[in-house]
Amino acid sequence: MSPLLQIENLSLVYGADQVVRDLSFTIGRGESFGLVGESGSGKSSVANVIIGDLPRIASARGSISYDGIDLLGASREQLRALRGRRIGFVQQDPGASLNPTMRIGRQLLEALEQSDAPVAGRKERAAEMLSRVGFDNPGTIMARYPHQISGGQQQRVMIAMALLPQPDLILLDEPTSGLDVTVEAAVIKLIAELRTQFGTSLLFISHNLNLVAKACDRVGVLYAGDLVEEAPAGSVFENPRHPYTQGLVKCLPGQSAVLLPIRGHVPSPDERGPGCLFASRCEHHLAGLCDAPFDAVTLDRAHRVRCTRLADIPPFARQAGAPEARSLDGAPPAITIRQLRKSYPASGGDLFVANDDIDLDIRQGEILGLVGESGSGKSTLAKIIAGFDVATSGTIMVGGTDIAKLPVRKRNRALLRQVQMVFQNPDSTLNPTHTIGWALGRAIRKLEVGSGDLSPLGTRVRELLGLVALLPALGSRKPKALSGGQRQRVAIARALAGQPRLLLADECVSALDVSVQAAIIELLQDIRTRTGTAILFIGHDLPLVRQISDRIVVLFRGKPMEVGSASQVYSLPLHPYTEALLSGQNDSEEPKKTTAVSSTQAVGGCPYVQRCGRVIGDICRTHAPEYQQAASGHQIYCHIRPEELLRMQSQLGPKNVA
Amino acid sequence: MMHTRDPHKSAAAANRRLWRHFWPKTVSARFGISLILFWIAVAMLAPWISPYPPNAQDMDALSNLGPSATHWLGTDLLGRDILSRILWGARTTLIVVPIATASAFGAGTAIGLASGYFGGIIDRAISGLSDIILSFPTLILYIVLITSIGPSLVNIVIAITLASAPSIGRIVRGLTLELRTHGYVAAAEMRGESVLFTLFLEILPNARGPLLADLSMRAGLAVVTVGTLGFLGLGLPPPDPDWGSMVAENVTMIPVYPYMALFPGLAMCSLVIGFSMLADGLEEDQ
Repeated sequence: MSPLLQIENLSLVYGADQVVRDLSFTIGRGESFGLVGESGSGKSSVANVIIGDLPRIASARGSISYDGIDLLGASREQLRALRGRRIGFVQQDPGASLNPTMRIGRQLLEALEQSDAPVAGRKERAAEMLSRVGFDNPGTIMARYPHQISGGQQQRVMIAMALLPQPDLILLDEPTSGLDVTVEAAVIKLIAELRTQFGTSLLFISHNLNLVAKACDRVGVLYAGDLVEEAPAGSVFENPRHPYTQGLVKCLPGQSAVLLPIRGHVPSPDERGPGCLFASRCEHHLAGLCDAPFDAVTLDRAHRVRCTRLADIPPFARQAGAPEARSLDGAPPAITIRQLRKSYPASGGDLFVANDDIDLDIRQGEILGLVGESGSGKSTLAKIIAGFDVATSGTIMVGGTDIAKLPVRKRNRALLRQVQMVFQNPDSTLNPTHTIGWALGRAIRKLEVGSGDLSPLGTRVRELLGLVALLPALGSRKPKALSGGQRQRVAIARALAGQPRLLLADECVSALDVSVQAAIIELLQDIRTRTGTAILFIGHDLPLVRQISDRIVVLFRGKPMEVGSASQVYSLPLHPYTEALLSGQNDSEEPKKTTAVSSTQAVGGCPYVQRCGRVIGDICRTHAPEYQQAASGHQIYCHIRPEELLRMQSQLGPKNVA
Repeated sequence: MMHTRDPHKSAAAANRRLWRHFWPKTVSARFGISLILFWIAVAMLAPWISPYPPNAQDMDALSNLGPSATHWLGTDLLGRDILSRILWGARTTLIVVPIATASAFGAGTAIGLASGYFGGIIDRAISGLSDIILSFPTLILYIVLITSIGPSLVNIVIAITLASAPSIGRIVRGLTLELRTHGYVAAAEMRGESVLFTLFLEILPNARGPLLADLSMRAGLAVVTVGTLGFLGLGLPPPDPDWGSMVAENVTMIPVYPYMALFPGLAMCSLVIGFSMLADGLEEDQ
């Protein structure tokens, strides 16, 4: 049987820029193919060319045949007939793909408009599809508007909509980015299930190799528009052959003990030569040989690698084991948080509690990881420490001063210097109007310790740039000329100008590519070691947080559920919430956070009781638990004794693997 | 690749870069700015290029008012050369319009930044006041203001500022609301920059794109306003020419001598078109 989708020697050119080069792969019927690549690899362009949605300046060569139809030569009418009906498309941002003015039900029916399905039973079909993508109450969902359901639910609706006309192929372009970890796991699970149910073929496009390998049969790795490696999903992790894939696996958190970033940057379209595009970053690069054009090599079991020196590339060697543990028991605290509480007035006079009686020390030179799903109060805590919000009650002591209720505008120079922050979005962290040198110069002038240092400002700016491994020449550039990773480095340098006691890092690498992410993580660890700055690292990527952190706090609805060293929390998660979070089985989605929280607060039970799989009785609902000591430095907020929890896990749940 | 470092050459290169930076990239913006520059040149050179003094009466011309070899655009009923009066009239417009627009923008930017950045009660107070002003038709606002405080350069500037600052403020407020969420604003606050520094060096420069386009459009509107006020007799006091009052003086003659009102009207039109095409072009540029 011929494959469903066959792409042969596809080249895509935008104006003068080569975006995709000589791309070939096939997707069989019922097969799922994953396309992985960092930003700028051209992965989304591949999806767009398949559905025939390219910018006007684009021109494509090669062939794409879909079930015998030549997509590149097809007329607009032919393409229109295919799109939606035979090729489904699930896009990145479900919020932007759904029409905010229409009820879900009507939008689902619109997806059936083009199909041959009898008009009479359409509503029933839509409802049935909703229940198949995991909604218990399709009727209510259909009556809702998109803003009335959560992001995860919206993405389920999008998947249902794509499935409704029973297409043979569904394109998923980053379907889970922007969703919570727990929700992401649920969506991936759903996609895997549906594939077996419907026999639909999938083209899954993502930057996340982990995710793609989980959801797909085969994986293609795209680098700068080249398919550098194509292999069965398992082989990509176990036996990556291309130097780029090997590098990519080495910078994935949770895959090896130390993250090894890939040096250099992806060549921009005008830097691309005829030979291997990874050559400039490859340690096996041989001048002459690698710079000439060559073809992909096919290994056993449909494993294709595009590397001319394949025979000389050593097999992938994994550095197994967990990250090295550091003990900081003796270190004095950099910041002491006691009984911190933040509540917002919510509609109906209820209180929405964002942070609930948090007791926490961050020691000098420690990286404390803060994890939890969105809405758990992670960012609220960071905001209060930074002074962008004030606590309702409790104290945060920094060097003898309580800053819990001191907004940033009221902090003096000495206090401002103590706590600095690195922000999430690399695109807006630096002012596009001013040069890098200006930004750092301002930070030095406002935060520098003492005025005894007489070296000119320019020298200090260069020193700061050196601290984050950037070239001094960047000082005269504007942020637009920098890559995301470089901008985030500058942001770190800016925060370090006053040698802060505590650095707040709120999702500061989540917008970066994995290879860049690894480099920033390395930098933060290095800075901690060199300067003794404590870092509060907030993240949703659990393996990543584990990689960088010494200790971890698991937050749920503003309350730490489990606190312990990184290895304790990850290899021996005790609290039912941590257990769920780590295994990704936490499918249940938050309905509306305000109401749900206030109800449990009113009763005074455990905040996790509604979703807990290990409730032991009414005590969970009526009495707030006490912290229990599981081991030295390992605490859980639960009624059940640690030993008992361990026994329950071995009996009932699957064993978690960090 | 340039290997030799010739100071003249690099100075020339710097000039070229400066030129490229400020010379607009779209055709309509270039056309618009050319029109504006033309009128600026005319206003500056009026004493030298105008054939007659603006208020001089040519009694000989009264027998033949229309365009002729001596008076290219003709004369008005008092025998004053229309071309000269248009050239001199450009001065009035091009003095009042920039001052009024700058003043309106200064005020609008200040209130917009304040209400967008501080929010809360300040925002509500400013927005409320703006709504009150904006609820009046602008023409009525001008008439009420000028008739009560009297026509003079300063009062015209005050009137235009009062009438357009609220809507400029709204634009700036919207931009500020978005820009203040950016990391660099938070970073400025975390290093203890003053409020003014944050507003004028961190936020405002990033709003300049949309503001420049709006500035150009409003300058065009100010030309119309100055013309309207002149037409209504609320402009600068006679006898010095301004385009609006020239139209007003001659409007009753339109059936007989249409050119008397037409030429100053055309002058006004071309300047307004210049400003709005520049605005269009700047918007496209972004």
